[in-house]
Amino acid sequence: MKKSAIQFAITLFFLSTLFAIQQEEVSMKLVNTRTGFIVIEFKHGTPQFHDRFLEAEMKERGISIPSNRRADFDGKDSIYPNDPLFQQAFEEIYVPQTIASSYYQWQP
Amino acid sequence: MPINLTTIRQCPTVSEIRFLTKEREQTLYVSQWLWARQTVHLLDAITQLQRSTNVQNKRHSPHVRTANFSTTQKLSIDKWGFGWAWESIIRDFQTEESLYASILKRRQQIVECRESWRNYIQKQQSLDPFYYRLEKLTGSPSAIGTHQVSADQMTLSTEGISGTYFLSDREGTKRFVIKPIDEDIDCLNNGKGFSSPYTSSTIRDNITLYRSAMRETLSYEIGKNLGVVPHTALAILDCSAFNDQIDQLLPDERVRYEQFIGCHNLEKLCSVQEFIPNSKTLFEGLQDLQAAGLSDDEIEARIDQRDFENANILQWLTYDTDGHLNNFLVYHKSTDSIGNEILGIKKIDNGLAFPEKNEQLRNNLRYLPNANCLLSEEGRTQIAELSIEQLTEQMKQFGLDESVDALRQRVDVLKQLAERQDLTLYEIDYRMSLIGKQNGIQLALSQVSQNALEQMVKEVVK
Repeated sequence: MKKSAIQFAITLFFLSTLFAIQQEEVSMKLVNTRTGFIVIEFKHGTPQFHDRFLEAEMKERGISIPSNRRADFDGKDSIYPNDPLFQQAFEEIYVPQTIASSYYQWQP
Repeated sequence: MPINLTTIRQCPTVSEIRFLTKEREQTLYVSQWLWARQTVHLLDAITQLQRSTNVQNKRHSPHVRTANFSTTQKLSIDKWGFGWAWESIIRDFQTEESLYASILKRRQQIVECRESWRNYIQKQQSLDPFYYRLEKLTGSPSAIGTHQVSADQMTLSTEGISGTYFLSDREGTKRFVIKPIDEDIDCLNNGKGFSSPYTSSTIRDNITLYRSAMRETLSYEIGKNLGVVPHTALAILDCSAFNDQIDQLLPDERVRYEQFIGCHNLEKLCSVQEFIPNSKTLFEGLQDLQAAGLSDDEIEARIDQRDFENANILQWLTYDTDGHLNNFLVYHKSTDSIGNEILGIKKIDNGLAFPEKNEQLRNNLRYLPNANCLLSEEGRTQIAELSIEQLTEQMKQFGLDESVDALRQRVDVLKQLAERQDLTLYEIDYRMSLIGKQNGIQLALSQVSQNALEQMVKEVVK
C-alpha cells in the first residue's frame, strides 16, 4: 500500500512537471520584473502585445534578421507579427539585441 | 550551439541559466546545470594549475609560435566563446590556423587603434574639463595618458549585449559609462556571447567595427547644441575588470591561445560618457505611462517636446541604426502646472551611428505620439544653420572618413525637408529613412502626401 502510494506520488510529480513544461511551450510572456508590466504574450505562437509602441514598431518595421541568421528564418530579412516565425525571431533576435536587460524575463 | 562557459561561471541561479539557454534553443535541466557548473569550476582549477606552472615563458612572450601542436584541424566546437557568430565563423574559416591568424590581426588592430588616438587624447586632457572629473575618480593619468582604474570602481553592466561598464566613485555612486572599443558587439573581446574575429558588423550593414568609441564621441560633439547626448569623450583606461577573449576560452585552448596570440591586454581605448542618474529607458518609461492608463495625448504631454524634437534631429544627423527605445533615457526634467512629471530625453548608445551608406535608419521615436507634431520653427532654424563643411571636418577628425559621403548626402536632404512647413517629425523621419533606397532621394524630397508616398514606396519594393 505504502509502495503504491509512493509510486502514485512519483507519477503525479512527473505528470505535473510534464504539464508545466507543456504550458511553458504554449504560453509565455515577457515581463518587466520591476513593475510587473507584461510587454508581450505568446499563446500557441500568436503574439498579443501589451505595449502599444512595441506593437506599432513590429507592425511597421518588423524584426530585421541579420544576414548571418537568415538561413534560420527562411532567408527573410524581416519578420512581422503575422509570420509563423515571429515568436522565434522575437525570442532569438529582438530580445537579445534590443531588450537585453535583467529586468525583463520570460515567464510561463 | 554550445553554452558559453563564462555564462555558466557567472550564473548564480537555475532560472537565469534557463533564460539564457532558451535564447539558444537549448534546454538545460537542473542536474545538467549543476554538473556543468561543477565541471567548469574544476576546469578553472586545472587551468589555474597549468598557468601557475607554465606562466613564466608564456606571459612574457606574446607572439611566440613555437607550439608543437597543429592548428590545421577544422573548426567544430566554439572553444573561444564567440557565441552568436560561431555558425558564420565555421562557414568563413576553414581551419583553426586561419581563425588564429584573424584573431591575431584583430588584436594588433586593437592596439594600433588605441595608440593612434593617444596623442589626441593627451591634448584633450589639458583642454576639456570633463577629463578633470574623470581624474577625480581615477587619479592623474600616467605620463602617456592612461588612466589606471581600480577594479572595485568598475562594474560590468548587465544590460545590453556590448561590454559596458559603470565607473563609480569611492562611495559607490555611478559617475561614468565606459565602453571599450574591443568589447562592442561583434568585437573580439566582447564577453557577452557576441564576439567575432570580423572587421565588419554581422548585425548591421555598413558599420566598420572597432570605431564605436569614435562614433559615441562624435555623436556628442555633433549634438552639443541639441543637448540630448550626455557628455562623452575618448580616453585610454587600464582596468583588470575589463574582459579579454582569453577569459572565455576553454581551458586547453587558453594555453594554446597564450602561446599563439599573447596574454591579456587590458589597456583599452574607450568612450567615457557621463552617467545620467535617476533615469530609466524610454522603453520602460513608456510602459509605466501605459500601465497608468494614459492616452496617447496624455503621454505626448508628459514628454518634453523640445528634447523630443532635438533627439529626432540628432537621429537624422547621425543616421543611427540602433535607435530603439532602450537606447533613449528619460529623466525628471520639470513639472507641469498640475504637478505631472515632464520627462526629458537623452540619447545613449550611439556606437552604431554614422553608417557608410544611408541605410537602416532606426528611429523608434517615430512611434510616439509626439512625432505627429510639425517640426518647430526653432528646429527648422537649427537645421538650416547646420554647416555641412563643419560636420564633414568633425567626422574626419574622428577617423570616420568612409561615412562622410553619406553624411553630406543626408544633411543636404534634411535641410531641404526642414524648409517645408507642412511636415511632421514622423513624415521627416519616414522620408529620411528612404535615402538609401532606389530613387531614395527623389522619393524623400517628393511633394506628394504621406499616404501617396507610402504607396509609391510599396510599389518600388514590389
